[in-house]
Amino acid sequence: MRLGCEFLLPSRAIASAHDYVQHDRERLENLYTHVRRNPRTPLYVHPNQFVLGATFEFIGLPDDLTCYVIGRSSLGRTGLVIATATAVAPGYSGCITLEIVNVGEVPLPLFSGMRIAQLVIHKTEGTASYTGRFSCQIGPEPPTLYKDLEMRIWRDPLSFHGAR
Amino acid sequence: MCALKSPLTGVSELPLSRRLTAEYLADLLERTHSLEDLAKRLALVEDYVSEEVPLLINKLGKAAASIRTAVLEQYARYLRTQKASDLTLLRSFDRCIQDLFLDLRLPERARSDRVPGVLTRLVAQKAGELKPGAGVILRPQWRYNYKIYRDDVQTRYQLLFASIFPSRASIDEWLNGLPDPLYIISFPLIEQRSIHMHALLGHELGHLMAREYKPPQLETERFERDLRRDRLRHLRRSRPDMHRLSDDEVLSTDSELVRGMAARRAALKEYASDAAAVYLIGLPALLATAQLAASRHLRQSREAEGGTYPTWGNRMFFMLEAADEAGWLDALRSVASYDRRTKFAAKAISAHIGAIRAWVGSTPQWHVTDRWIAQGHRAAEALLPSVRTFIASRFASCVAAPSETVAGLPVLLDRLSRSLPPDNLTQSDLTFKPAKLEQIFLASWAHRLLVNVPTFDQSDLSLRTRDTAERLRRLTFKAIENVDFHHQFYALLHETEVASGSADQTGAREAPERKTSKTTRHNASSHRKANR
Repeated sequence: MRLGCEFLLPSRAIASAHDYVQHDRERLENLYTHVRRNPRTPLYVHPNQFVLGATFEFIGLPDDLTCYVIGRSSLGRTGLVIATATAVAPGYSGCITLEIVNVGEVPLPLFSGMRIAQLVIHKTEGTASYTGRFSCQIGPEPPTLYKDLEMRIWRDPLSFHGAR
Repeated sequence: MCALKSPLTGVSELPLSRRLTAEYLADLLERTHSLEDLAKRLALVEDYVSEEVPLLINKLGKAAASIRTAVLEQYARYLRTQKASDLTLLRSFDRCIQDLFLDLRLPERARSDRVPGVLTRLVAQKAGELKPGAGVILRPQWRYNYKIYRDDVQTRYQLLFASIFPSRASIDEWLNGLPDPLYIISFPLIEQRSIHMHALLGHELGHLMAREYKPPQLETERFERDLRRDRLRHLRRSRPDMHRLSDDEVLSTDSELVRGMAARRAALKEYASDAAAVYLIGLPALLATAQLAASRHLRQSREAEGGTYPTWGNRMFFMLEAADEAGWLDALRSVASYDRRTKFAAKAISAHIGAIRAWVGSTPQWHVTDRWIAQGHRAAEALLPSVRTFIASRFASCVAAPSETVAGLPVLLDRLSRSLPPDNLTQSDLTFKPAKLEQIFLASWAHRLLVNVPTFDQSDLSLRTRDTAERLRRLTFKAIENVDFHHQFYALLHETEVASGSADQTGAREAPERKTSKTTRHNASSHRKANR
């Protein structure tokens, strides 16, 4: 899989916390700086920096296949971790978001179009169709934890219990 | 001597007094410094959509430095000669700096978070088909309007700097490095995410061709003569206080006469650009214009402005004729041998075009209410056959045949139905033959009509329809990105190949570089094999 052109860089200083309980979509999106790179200009990832990227390839998995995203070992040896949430559900279509972290000691350049990850594909027993919120994404997207039902417990405990 | 206006608020035409000159000069120099600093800072921003943007900003900053030198030289000349005319020439520097400040806002907004960067290069590619070597800067604007700036950058600055730079050579040196021509095109920021409406960029590119259309001289003279006669008769009747003035004196202050003439010119340009858009982008240009025209709010605001544009109804009518002449409607009818989905899509487009025809036929307001502008528009309409012939002849060699574009429809529609970007014209995923921009647009519009995403009335979209529309938008953007990336990546590979080839010839012996180039060559050749 090749690295896509778009990146989301979390901003450290403009919010007190990445409050995915209280923040809605707009506020969460504002916590990231959107950056676009063409194949000629690199994006430098500094030690301990976290960047959301995406694969350039747009994949469409059938309902009976699942896959795992695994970083290339060559890049792993430079200290680059490609993905942490590595499972891709059957029936998913879209680009795969990569949670990139440099755990090495020196900054690393990332070029759009470079080979960065690989997919390990498995056949599933039975079929399932992904209908989640990240379907058909064409670049990295910020988390949407605010949509989780259980977040209501911590966001507005009174109304949650009242609703029950 | 009356007080001089502040240069920041406006330039008085009065000659500068000696007392105020030093203050004015200091202010002028200060503003050149500000412009240069601002340009330097803006050029450092890294997320511009294309390389031309920081390049142009840098050039504007350098122009400010050159103007500063020229201002000082001019002032030194004035001190030697003490001629008031030398001093008054400083005004032209002032105006020039104001223009440059205004111009700086044009490239400054072309950032990747506001502009679909992937579209910029493909639009530039289309512009290159019309004008070899052309570059494009695509930028958003708040006002709802797709617009191409009147002159390309080279022409604009040659005119602007003609009076202040010492020689043509120095202007050419300043412009060196910028694409020739370089066009700046604006699109409404509200349409940033709406890929289907971006087919209207074809109309803006069409202006490049429309400028070359020259109406017959005899027709122009006859129209001007008739308009002058009618205006004169009208003014003599309605303004008896003017009876002492001669005919020329009466007409010299008549703004309606000027508007009538401008209306004819503007209408011809718009019609020619519409026809060019149909040839360049195809049916999506027609469908996008129809959607725009159907928006009552936009239509009314445009016509209420008292502008010189022809009515949407007339433009749509002309575009339909151009589409028919270009062979688009025949191409739609020729899908009998294609698969079921393509046939349905072709039928959906044909039905939509039928609805547009019906709408055009039922438009109550055929011309704008202003009598003199309508006269200009009618004169332009008399020339429409010659406009169509001109555009058809100009596009005869440089655009793909409609049948070729429609031929890609089955594969692209199939991909869209499987939630894949409509970018790949081959059946197998192992090979990649990129689709063209017009094919992507056509497939996207066809799919949109197939899945019934409304185009005319979007006021009541269900959640499901919104989701479908959003998905289609993303897939189309991704398709454009893939095609653009493919072109860029192979251009880079080619450059690397050429560079490594020349390094081999000169006997470069640096091991790592040789290894890289070999790897790259291997990749390039394997990609090429795969493409075959």
